[in-house]
Amino acid sequence: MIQSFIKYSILAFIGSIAPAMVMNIEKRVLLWAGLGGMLGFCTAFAFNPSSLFFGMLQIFAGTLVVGIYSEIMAIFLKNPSTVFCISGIFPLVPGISAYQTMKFLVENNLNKAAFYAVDTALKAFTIAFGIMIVTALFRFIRRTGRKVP
Amino acid sequence: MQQKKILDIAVSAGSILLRFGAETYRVEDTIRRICKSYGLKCEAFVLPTGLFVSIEDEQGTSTICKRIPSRTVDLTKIAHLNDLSRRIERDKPEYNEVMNELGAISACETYSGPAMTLCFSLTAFAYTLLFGGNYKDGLCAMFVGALLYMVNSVFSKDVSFPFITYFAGGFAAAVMSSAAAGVFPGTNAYVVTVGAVTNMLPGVALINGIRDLLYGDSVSGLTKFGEAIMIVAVIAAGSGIGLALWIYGGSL
Repeated sequence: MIQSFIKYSILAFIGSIAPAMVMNIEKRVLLWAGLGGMLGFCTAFAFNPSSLFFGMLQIFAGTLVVGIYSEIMAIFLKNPSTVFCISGIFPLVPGISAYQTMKFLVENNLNKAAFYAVDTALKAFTIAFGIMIVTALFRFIRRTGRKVP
Repeated sequence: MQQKKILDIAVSAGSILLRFGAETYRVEDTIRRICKSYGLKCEAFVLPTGLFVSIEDEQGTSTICKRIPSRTVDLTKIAHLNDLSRRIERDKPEYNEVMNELGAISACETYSGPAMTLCFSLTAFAYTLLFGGNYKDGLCAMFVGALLYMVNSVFSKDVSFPFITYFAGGFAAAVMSSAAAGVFPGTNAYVVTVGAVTNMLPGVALINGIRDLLYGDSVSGLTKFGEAIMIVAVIAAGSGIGLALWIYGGSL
């Protein structure tokens, strides 16, 4: 089990730095962005290590971790938090479910297409919502923190 | 500073942000902040395909409309522009200085071709394994990913319309994976295709569209959402046709 955990976390690390490089991330923050993707994926994976097909709750937990990590790193590394967010959520994004929806539509298999379509929509909304919550929370903290002194 | 020059700065900064994949609210916010720091009131209306900025003061009103033909994601440029807009707010630098800096940002270097090829093949490798392939599938996917980058760069050099790149990519990925599965028996062509195609899937665009929707920018949110769905459909159609042609060719 530990072995598969290590294997998948390394894969998630590669799977978030390689697309981040395609999106032309700065070299200075490359490894930190990969670490964020790894943390998010490991959080989601730790809830149910038997399967790689994540449920909604797992994805939500992973997204929250990625969001908090990227807000903290944005303060330390002086980069907008989007940089870490976009590369961090890459291993969680349901791109493959979207692809499978369309593939089953092309193959005229409407039952499976509907299943994957709902799956894609729910997961995408979950990720977007998780990022929103963290962003709003940090904005709130910053605003109240500034008023106190 | 003259009204026209301020408008020029705001529009150039906004169009760079929009062109390289910033969220709509960030673009509008940056334009508004730049104008405000030079003491002008402005209205900014940003769509995914273009932006309108209009400034009003005692000299009259002026408006600029700028069309954005194509969009990619470039995290370095977004980060640098964020720094620049903070600096404008703090120091209010002169026009020439800002324009030089904007030029430097839009010319900042990207990763070289071989590095990008390596990234494409590493992405394909990682996601093939994450979708349940074995190491043999992963190695095949590395080759397919590298070839996919070449197909992509050939087709995106002279684009008459962007969807042809995605169609060609999906088609090439399906054909090459089937060929790889034919050469190395025991590889799963479907898993390899899925892993290689991950390079082009607009997962992040989908999330950004929904984020825009949640922020209240419904027009650009729905546009990005629709565009992401179109891209996925085109990739699936391309790979479906590729796979069908390969099977048909094999049965002849």
